[in-house]
Amino acid sequence: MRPTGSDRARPDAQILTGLYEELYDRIARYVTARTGSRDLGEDLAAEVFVRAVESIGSFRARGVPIEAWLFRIAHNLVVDHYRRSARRPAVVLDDAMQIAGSADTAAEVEQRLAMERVRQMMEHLNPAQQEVISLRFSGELSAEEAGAVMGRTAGAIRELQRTALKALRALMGPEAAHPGAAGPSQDVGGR
Amino acid sequence: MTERRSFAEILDECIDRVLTRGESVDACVRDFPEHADELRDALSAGVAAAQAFAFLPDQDRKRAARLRLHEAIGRKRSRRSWWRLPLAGAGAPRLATIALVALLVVAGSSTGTVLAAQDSTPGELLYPVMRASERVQLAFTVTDERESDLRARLMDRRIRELEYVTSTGRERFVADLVAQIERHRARAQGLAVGPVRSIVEALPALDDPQPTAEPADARGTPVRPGLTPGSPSRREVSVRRVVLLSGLMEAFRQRIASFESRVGEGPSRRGLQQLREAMERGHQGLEELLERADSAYQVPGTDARQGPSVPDAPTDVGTVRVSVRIEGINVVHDGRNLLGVDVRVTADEDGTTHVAHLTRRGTKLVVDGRPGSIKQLRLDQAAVLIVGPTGEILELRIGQAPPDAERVRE
Repeated sequence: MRPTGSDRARPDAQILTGLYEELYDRIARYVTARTGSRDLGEDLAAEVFVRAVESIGSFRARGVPIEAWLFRIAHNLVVDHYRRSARRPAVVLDDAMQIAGSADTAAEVEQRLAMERVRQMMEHLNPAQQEVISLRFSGELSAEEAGAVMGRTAGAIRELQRTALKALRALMGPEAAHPGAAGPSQDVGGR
Repeated sequence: MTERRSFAEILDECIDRVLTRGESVDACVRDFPEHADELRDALSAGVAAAQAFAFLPDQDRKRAARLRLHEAIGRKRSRRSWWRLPLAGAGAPRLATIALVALLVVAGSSTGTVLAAQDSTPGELLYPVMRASERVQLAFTVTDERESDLRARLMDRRIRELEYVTSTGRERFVADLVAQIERHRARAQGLAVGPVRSIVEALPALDDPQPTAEPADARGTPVRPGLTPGSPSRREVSVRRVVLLSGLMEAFRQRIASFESRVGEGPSRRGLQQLREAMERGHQGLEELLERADSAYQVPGTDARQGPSVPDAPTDVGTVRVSVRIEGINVVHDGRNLLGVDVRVTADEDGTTHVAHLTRRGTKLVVDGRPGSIKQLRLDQAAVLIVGPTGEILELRIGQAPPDAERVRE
């Protein structure tokens, strides 16, 4: 169920339940893109909706699109996570380390390795560039929605994503294959 | 700079086309040959980023997350009850509370408060608000049948409150709840049995066709001969109401019996015993009436279960006419379109207020026997409401002499 405009103006528990079905996957992917950890992505995606329930009143006062608001919560959780990690470094069992011991299929192993490669490249981008790529390509937000999350205009977001993609492409090196005629995998679309 | 911004917009369009519409990178690049290389590079990086994180979340974790969300919603709802402050003494803030309730209910601007009060339990600040809103609901019921149904629901609510107060040692509320339940029971029973008694007493003037009976209704209650889902006649609906009420009373009797052991010897326990006995008598009385109604439904030589199916009841069966006076006319619109007209009327008989929604699918306006126009409506105009078997207002008739002030079954 996609809420109507008026629903988005005043979300309640029921609306959040509906949005959960629509947005959980996208938020989990966004957080994974920002942190490089799928476990963390899924944990924080769950946390986003709990926070949303607890602070619905603050949303009403701000008047931003509800998707953008949920992604803002996700963004703040990622920031909190990094702050905690910086203060109290912990040994993180990285996803890549789990691959060896898991019963994943070869395709999934390949997927995780690709994730790790792209994540390492993204770490060379500045934080705003990382954010815009994560919001646009993993969160599947439009430029306008990403702008609402980041507090920038849609035009600024378009420009930012242009520089971010240019930088990312440079990091991929000449060996990076062009996707050519093939579009993205089935999992990518669906917004 | 202009060209760069232009390229940024083209890139953004291509990202949407590739990610959202599933177009290929090449297809989009072909549309912008002047930016072909730059577009291809940027899109290839974007698609790689999208594919890298395009995993399907673990379904067990997703279910667990959904559960967390529901738990959070539950916590939020219970935390909303910051106002759930038990009254210090039974009588102390009574005047203030009554004033608050009167303000909230009479002002009519407190739907949220009344809704919040729906979860209240005896002793909580908003509990009187809930009870007051129930009284308002009762005052607004249009037909005896609706009132009977509402009282059955209120009885159920009071029983649940009785369970709460007896399980938490709040015996001081028992007497009030017992009195309320008994009042609802007696009134609901009186309203429900009237139509069925008239069936029984009207024997053998049975003109209702015999319906095909189902073995059980949706609640699993055995359906008596003459009752069927579908298009039940007014008579069947009346009997079914008594069947359900009888079942409810038996269920309530059992629950009340289980509460008795929770309270000590004294007025509370005696009150519960009397209520249980009243439920038992009520149940027996209804069962006896139903037995007589069953007999009334039997047509010699016909097995009711194999009888002909019930035709759709004509719209004038079971309707009620209510003489009213028009008190208010409100045009309903959404800012651009006229959606209908709400006509507030007051019944001459008992002063109750009703609202007829004159919309395309709602209440019909009939003037002098023909479809009327809202322009013909006048304040303080005498009119007649035609109320359907389930309480819906079918027609608002004006321009003809109203019948007697009494409700008349047509």
